[in-house]
Amino acid sequence: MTELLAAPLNPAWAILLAGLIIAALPWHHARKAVMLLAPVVALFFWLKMSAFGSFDPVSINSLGVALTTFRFDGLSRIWGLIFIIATFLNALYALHERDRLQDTMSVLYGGAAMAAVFAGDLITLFIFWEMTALTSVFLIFRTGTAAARSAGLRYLIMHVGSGVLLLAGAVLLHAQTGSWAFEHIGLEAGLAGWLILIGFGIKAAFPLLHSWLQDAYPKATITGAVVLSAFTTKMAIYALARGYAGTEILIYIGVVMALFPVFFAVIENDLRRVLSFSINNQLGFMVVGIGIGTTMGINGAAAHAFADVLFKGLLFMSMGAVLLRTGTTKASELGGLFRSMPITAFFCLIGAGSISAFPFMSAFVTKALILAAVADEGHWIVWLMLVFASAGVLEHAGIKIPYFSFFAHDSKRRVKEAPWNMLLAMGIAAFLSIFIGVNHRWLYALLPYPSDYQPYTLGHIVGQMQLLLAAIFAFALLMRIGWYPSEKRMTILDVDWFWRKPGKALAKWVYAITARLWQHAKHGKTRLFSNTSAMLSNMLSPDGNISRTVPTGALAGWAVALLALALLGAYMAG
Amino acid sequence: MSTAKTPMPKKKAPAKSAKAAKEDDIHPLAKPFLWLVSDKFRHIFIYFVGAAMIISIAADFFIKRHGHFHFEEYKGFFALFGFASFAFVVLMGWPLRRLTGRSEDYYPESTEDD
Repeated sequence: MTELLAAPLNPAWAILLAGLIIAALPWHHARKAVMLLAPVVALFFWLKMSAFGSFDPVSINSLGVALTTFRFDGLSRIWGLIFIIATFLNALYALHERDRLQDTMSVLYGGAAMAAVFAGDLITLFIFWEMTALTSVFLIFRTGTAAARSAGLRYLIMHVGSGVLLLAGAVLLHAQTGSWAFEHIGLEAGLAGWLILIGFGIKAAFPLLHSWLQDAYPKATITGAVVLSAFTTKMAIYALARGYAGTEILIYIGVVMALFPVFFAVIENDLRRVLSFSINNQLGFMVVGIGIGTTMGINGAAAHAFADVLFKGLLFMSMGAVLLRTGTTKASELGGLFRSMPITAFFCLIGAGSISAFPFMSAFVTKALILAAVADEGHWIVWLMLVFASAGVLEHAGIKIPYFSFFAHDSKRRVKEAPWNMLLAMGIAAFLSIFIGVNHRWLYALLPYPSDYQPYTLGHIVGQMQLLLAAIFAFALLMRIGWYPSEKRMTILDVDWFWRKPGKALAKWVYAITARLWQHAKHGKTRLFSNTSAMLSNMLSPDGNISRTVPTGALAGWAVALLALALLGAYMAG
Repeated sequence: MSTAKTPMPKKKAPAKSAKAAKEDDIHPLAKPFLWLVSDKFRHIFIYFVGAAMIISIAADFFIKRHGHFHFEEYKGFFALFGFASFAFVVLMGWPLRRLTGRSEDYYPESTEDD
């Protein structure tokens, strides 16, 4: 027993096992106890890891594959920890909810993401990569609406497709290198490198591959959206950091990701969709850090992913509480909720301050690493674009979310404050967001590479305060003169329009044409069968055509035609 | 002639003032902070933020900010860039909404839910 406890144990197994137990437990309280206990056990496993290394080798001799299911190093360590924390916060947030399916799927989903992060080879990564898709989709389906079902299906197709690309790339890579190990891949690996990058890019919501995020997350259940916000995209960022550090194209992809959502978030009315755009925007910062690829860049991506799980989770939690109490997260229907939900509003403001990078809050010490990495490499245009995007972050996540839900005009909704468990989960996330901002050394010590970066210089604080205060002033001014676009109920089109409208129409048309062709073919087959019978009878019967004398020219013509047909067949086959 | 007493109409409890009833609906923790949502605060907020912004710009004249790029070190650079970026993002919302905004039931499945 002592030996077992001393051995390195994969924290993901604790979560996955808990998910299976929860699936079998019909008692609500027992399920919730297991949900809360599992991350505590996983944290114990994580804490007792005293050295880096690869453990749990599994050999599948028949396939000649050796799998490494537990690799604990600088990169997987920090992702493992934040996923453990997120699993605990999610369990606490969902404590009041009586839904065995969601309990099971959210825990299995978190466990799968954790297992993917600890995977040392591409096969293990693929298995858990797909498992995250197959478990998380239930958090969208469970809403039960037609829109959620459709969005869930679109989500599933994209994510399973991402896994297929990953597997195809892995097989190609194995053919080139003879190894399944998940190490640096890069685009030097040719087609394999591109396939895997696109596979990762779908889950990381690269531009044009991103629409599943804004489509599905706002339609997930209240707790589902909180759970979803933590794992999939951050797992993809981990995979990119592992496989594509220093890949230059990621710098430009990341900049586009950081920029375009800020424009859409301004006009979006659904505040959970605004937060989905915000995820996309924050991922952009991380992707830039990975593209830079220096130790500072990777540290920045890791630190910002850690902080983002907390503050984005917190913002989703606060909007989930609003949805639970009011039945909507449409900005046009909300406002003035501070009067009834002051504690939720307070935590939401901490989340908003953290994501906006106010001093002594988390993003101030994490985003600064990415910006410093960009500046160190002399990318001044990229740097300016990221500072521009930072002002955009303040607009949608720092101001729009708390202002239009809790302040602004009074919607006269007088509701109950969020349940205590939701408030406690929000409180812990808020505390950690400030804790990181104040004790940045604690987080920096967990980063993949040693860091002596000092975020708290007077110049940095003054510069950041100038940016934020001037942006808030711009908001106040634009509101005062009526130039701020008012919140309106509407659908904002995204790239998914291409497959939801013309794509759908094309699919319908192809289906109709195929159906008609099939009908014709079926009809033709029947006719062909009867015609053939009649023809054979005509030919082979004693009075048949075959016994007639045929002109030689016609016979030769038929022979040439048959030969040409045979040659054509051979050409096509060969 | 009926001797039965007609029941006396019950004395109505004194009606709460509209303001008091409204206040009862408000969470106790929110009450000390209601000034945050008052019209007066909304009115002065812009001056308050404007003053804070000016102080942050003034700080540039007393400290030396070291940046990676020379333009970072211009006085008030971040304030100017922050203001312009924010205003640009918000103002671009108008044409973007005209371009991409559609009615709420644009996608058929969304109407089934409402």
